[in-house]
Amino acid sequence: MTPELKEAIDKYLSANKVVLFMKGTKMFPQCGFSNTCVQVLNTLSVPYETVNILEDESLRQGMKVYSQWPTFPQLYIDGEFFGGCDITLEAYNSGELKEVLEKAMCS
Amino acid sequence: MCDDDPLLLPILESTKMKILKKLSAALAPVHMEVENVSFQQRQEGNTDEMSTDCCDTHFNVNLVSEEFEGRSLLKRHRLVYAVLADELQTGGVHALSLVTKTPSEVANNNQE
Repeated sequence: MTPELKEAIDKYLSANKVVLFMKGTKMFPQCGFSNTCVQVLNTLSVPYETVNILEDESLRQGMKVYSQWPTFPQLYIDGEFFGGCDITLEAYNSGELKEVLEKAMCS
Repeated sequence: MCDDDPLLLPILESTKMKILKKLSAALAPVHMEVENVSFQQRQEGNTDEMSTDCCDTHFNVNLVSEEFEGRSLLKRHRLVYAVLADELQTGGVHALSLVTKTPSEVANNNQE
């Protein structure tokens, strides 16, 4: 993880409230878990950005270090790591995800 | 094939066995299920080039442990990832679907 990469990630996360680091894109997810997160976020009708980590190996490895999380997808809300697919889905089902997103949108 | 041959033991111990052993030692779960679902990923046409290298890439893990008491979902998952760090970094495991509950949560679910 170079300082430049960390800075770039920091900057991107402060500029975008909801970011999903995933395999593939919003339109063409390339993994079941990434797709699940995309569908959840689509259902909640919240604006979000996606980053395709398959396109950049250094970013892929960098995000694992940055998030201290070894797998993708990785959901960030308001600059903070929220979780992977399991956590996102469980939080969606419990209503917690909607609350956290609403709070982020208002801030 | 001789089961006592110490040279063969590392080969015989599958990724699943390693996961079971490590989780058991670290979290003393009252209930544990580990399922290798790598084949499902290949069938669904997962285009991630790395996942075609071996058969031990995706696992479902269901754990019930006191160690999860008082920890958020995120902290629970981080705990499991820490225990299985080797498998995730160099062992070829690419994804873990985790269900992490405490014994009291399971008891409450059963009562509903």
